Amino acid sequence: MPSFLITDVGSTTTKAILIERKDDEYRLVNRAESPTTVEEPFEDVTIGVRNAIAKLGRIIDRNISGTGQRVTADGIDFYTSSSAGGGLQVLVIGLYSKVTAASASRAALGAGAILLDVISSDDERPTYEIIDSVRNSRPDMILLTGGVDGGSVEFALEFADIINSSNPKPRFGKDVKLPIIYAGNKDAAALVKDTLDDDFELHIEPNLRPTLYSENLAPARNQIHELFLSHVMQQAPGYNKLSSATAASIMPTPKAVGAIMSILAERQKLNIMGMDIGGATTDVFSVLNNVFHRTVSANMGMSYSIGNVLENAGLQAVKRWLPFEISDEELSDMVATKMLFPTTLPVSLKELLVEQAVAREALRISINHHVELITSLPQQKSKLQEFLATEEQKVNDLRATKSLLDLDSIGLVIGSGGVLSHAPRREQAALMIMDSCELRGITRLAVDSIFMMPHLGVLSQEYPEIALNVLIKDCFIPLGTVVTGYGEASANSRALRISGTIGSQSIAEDIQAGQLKIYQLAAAETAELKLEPAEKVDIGFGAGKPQSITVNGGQAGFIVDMRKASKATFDQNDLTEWMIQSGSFTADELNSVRRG
Amino acid sequence: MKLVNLCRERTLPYPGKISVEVGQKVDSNDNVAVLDYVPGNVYKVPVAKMLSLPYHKLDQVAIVEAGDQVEKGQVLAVNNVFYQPFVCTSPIKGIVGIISKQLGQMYLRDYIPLDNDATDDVVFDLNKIFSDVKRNIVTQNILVKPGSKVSPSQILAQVSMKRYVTSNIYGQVKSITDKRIVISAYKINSELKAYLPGEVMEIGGRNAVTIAGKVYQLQGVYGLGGERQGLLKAVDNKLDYQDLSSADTGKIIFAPEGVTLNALRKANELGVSAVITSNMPFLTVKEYAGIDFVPGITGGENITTGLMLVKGFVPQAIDQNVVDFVRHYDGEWVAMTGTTHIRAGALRPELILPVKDRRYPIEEYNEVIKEGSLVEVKRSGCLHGSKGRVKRILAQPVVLPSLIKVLAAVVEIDQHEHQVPLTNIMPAGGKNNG
Repeated sequence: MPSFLITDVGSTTTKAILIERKDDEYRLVNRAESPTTVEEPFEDVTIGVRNAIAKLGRIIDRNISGTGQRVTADGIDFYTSSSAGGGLQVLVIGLYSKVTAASASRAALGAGAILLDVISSDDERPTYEIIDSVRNSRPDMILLTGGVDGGSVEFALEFADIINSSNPKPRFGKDVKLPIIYAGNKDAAALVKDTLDDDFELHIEPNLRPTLYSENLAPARNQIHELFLSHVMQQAPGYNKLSSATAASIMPTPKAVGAIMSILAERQKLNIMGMDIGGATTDVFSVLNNVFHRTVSANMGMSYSIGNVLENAGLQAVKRWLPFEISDEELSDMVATKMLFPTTLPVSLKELLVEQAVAREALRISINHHVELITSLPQQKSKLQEFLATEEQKVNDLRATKSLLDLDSIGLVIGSGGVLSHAPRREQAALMIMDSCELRGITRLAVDSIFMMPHLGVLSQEYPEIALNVLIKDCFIPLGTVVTGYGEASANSRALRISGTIGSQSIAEDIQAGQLKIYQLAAAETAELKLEPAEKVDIGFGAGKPQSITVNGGQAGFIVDMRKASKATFDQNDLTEWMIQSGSFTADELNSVRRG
Repeated sequence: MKLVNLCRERTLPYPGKISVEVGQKVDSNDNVAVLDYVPGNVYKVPVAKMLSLPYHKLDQVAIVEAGDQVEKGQVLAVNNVFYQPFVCTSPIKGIVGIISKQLGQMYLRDYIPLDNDATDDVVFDLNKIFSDVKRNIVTQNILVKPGSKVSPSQILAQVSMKRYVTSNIYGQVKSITDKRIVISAYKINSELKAYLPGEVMEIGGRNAVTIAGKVYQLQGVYGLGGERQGLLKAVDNKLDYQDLSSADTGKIIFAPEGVTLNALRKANELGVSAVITSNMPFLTVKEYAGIDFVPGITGGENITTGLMLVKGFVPQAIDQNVVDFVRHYDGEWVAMTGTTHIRAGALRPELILPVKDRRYPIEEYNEVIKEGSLVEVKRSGCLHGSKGRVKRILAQPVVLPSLIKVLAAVVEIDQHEHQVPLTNIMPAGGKNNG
């Protein structure tokens, strides 16, 4: 069996990891990174890839670089994912925002795309603005859908006309035809072909929403991936050289993350939620009953778009996470200055606390966005029900879609991105995740130590067992397990009684509503506990229902979070206490910030 | 301030007429292209249906082509039935957008007015228009919100099937207070200026001109509004509204000591082209930008007076060398853009100064930071904006007061040594604080 050198070519950095056999298993050897070289003056992505590999070679004191077309030495297979040059950018057009446009968005997001715009016939914008948007968006491809099979063909044709008239150009390649995937009403396919085939690279796929009650996303999603490889990657500088050096096809970075998360969820029989908070965007992933979902909250990030987070969340929402007084002016100037100098790091504790407060809001907004977007399809009705339903009821049925994400059912939450992965103390990361996620029940928390999930996702195409082993042993840092209670207990009344053992210690203790309690418990240690919630408190099994659990700890320990067991609101003193109690900050540190 | 060779592609949003040739020398104020029109609202004309024809036969009867300009009442298609011509005419003056062979219809576009110098906002007072309707019913039936883009015939508020009020202009809803909808008209210039003094290098079709030239470029960190040009006026003190008069209309005011919000508002009323200053609090910038403000991507604000911040949102002076150099251009024609895109491959605001017989006195700085480099500190609490020399770059990571462990440099500022993360220093020109 070979060794594996895997890179993830990001917009600014190319990250390389080496995985090799050690004793009887494959493990991470080391990692290195180098600036991505997709832009001028290099305009050849393989330069950055070779630099990262050479740097990794120097770190481990071995020559692992290849010559000629090979980027790695003999005996080392090369794989890569990529989000360089802004990733895969898709313009989505559907008939109704809640029906075909929603399905098309899910297809594109699942393929790892960034959505440049989502256009539908119930769009509030006038047609001329839609034409302007199509004309100015410079997508990598357009996903055109609309209409269930057997329905009206007019919408699809009208949008085909609008595309024609807008004359959109692809992001890369001046003389290249823009790819369009048509995955709508099959009756319109021939007419759409007649309208668009001359000026665009048209691909007709099966309808991704053949009926109101069913989706068929795979063909459109696969076509997006094919076009990403054959069209987008081929236009990007140096990618054809990179493609010929890889042992498997290049994957868009988010798709690779989805691949490894899906394998993890399947093997561990868990529902998983993941969040990657980047500089410009925040990706939220979930694997629910083995189905992968992804959303991207554009302009929700910690550097380039941190100002937008403040604008969306509002000053007061950010301030509630700060254990000190700060004026609106000082807070907004601090955040906006970070936006101006996006690559700078917080030097003072105050700056760190402000960034972590903004991160809570960016994550909260992005997770809400995810909850809103991943929705179930309408329930199929009998013919009689269909016949009796009024038009208004039919429309309401389509709108009243239910989110698929039930936070009770999430067994593992994975945090990624600098503010979480590189938080100075792991307890800070745990608290940020808990504050932003509205967790319920019993949940394990982890962070991706060095954002290795894309690499392992690519490897999982060929070697899922090896990828999974490295993921668990080298990539994840377990933060611990949290028990979260919800309810309407009186403030400071008993919310939960816990009894049993935490590590080697016996325990029998009451936790009050509003309290956050953390127990030391290492990842290899176990807590065996009986949990007895108060009558009006739910820990994921129904109000007042007890539960026995056996769970592991982590770097933050075993956490009992009864802050939402009552409806009482929290203030700066409560926040300070939680930060100290969780080990995120010491009292001295917080006092020093207050003193200025 | 840098002496740079810049090359810029100048593009019209829609095809127009190019008025320069390759190799031609241009000044920033020269027109290089003119827009014929900007298409607006879309009107569907069901031509085939009106002429009782199958959709696919539209091609055979249409006597106009996509791109043709048509007058109201002009014939679009003729169908001869037994030598009897049946015609379909245009309901508007506009341009033929699409001739749909599958749907048998034409899409006509009307024009968005160009060179619209309307300064007055259009107000729709729903209290008067629907004076007999209960106030809460009117409030509930306003269909636009601040920031919404509107076009002629678009319904702004509707209280019943037959009673509604529509916009009569292309513009943006500026505010809705006490059931008064205020709309400001779009201002689209038909003329595309060279912006950069230099030479025409390439012409791309009917809408693109590439210009290259050697200029002085003062890059700012944040701005509002798109491109602006005008005579430069340098002022000594912080700019307040009393300092402005109608003589400043069309000028670019360089106010290194700062500017008040009231001054910006008055400048906007007077038609001042732009104000360039050192810093301004973020909340003030936001208030001036108005509705629809997106902090990370600016340039599209509906403001007359552009803004450029050289240093940012917290107090920090512009280097005296830069101030002195820019002052030399007092009374001369200059160009600037306030457009800011904060992302990878960022777009930052800039002031463009033509190269004359004067020379900026500070040597170009080195982009690579090493021992001895003059650097400017960013963020880092009270050190923000300070300049100093790198004494040494530490081999091992240090733990900052923020508890973050990073690689750092020791920077001497005002004869004191500070450990600053390498991420928070950038090469600087000019003199250090010491």
